[in-house]
Amino acid sequence: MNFRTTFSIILIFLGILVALLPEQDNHAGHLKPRTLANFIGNTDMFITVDQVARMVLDEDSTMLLIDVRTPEAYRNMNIPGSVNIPLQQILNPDYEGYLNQPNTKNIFYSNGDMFALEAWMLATRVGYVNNFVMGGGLNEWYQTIMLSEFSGDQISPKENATFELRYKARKFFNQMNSLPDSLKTGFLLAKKSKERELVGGCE
Amino acid sequence: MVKKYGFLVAFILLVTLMVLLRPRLSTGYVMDATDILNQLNAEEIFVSMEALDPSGADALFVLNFTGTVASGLPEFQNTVFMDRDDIITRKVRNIVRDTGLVKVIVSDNLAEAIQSWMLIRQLGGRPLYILDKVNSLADSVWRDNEVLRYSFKPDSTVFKQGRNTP
Repeated sequence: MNFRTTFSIILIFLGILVALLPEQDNHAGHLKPRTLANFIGNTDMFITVDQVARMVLDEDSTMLLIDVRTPEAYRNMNIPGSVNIPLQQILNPDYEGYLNQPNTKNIFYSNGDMFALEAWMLATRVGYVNNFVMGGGLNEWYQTIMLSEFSGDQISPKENATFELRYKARKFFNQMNSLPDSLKTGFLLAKKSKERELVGGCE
Repeated sequence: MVKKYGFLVAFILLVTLMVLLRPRLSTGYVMDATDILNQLNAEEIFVSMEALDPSGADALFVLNFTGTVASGLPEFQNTVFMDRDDIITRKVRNIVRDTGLVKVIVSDNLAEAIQSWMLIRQLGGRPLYILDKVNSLADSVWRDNEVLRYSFKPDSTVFKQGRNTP
């Protein structure tokens, strides 16, 4: 076998090897596009503002409420209990500890739906699970929770429960956003202490 | 000589072709998640009806998710009616990766439009836009979706109540 034949065989072998090698995978752990496509138009990812209000009031530890707006907008006003991870920082490894918790629901919110949906897509693509979006964002929160009023002669028990939930959430939202940061922790501790007294618990 | 090595040359050409075509046939992401995140700020996502010119639309391709020609929308010559499963088909992939075509997503659902834009963009589709306000009943354009329509006024009485009266 002469040199040219040997060289050709080696070339063919290398060519086949390159062709058969898996593509360079820069996206290990990422959701496949086909899987991501299956989520498009799926409404299961949305959580209503009433559900969020309930979780906030219950201090639901299985929920992580994530405000993806700018730090300035977050400081101005936010849903109590939320953390601020701006959209541009959503893939920052520093926040992976927050976002990559299999037993915690990541609920993204922004002023509307758009930024929260973008955060949802990115978080889902990189493999974080249990991602949700608060439907309608803060605009919907204001419309439903902050401005809710009952009008009518009679109120059903279900309506009453919903209205009470919204009233409590509105009050809590107003209180927490009206206090300076330095007083928030003390306020929460006092609130918990008072709640324990009301249910007859002991210190 | 040619007869002797013809088979080998053909085989080498075939393998080379396979290697070159592999990225083209790929169904994987073209953009990193970080890249698409950076593009979100840099690119205009929405395009208005007025900005589209159906008459000179050879280079315009409409990806229609509504299932029908949306009311008030002119019929574009290059339209493909599709749903989410079609995004990753070879036909659509070849369309979206053609940088000579301006692709416009038409949907009556903001979430569907945003998610489709994000996915198609990550699969290499550009230039890519979402047609704004397809639904004439919508009270605002989608590009204003992130505008906060309310303002918060702190309640000064909360502070005065003191720390022990939540």
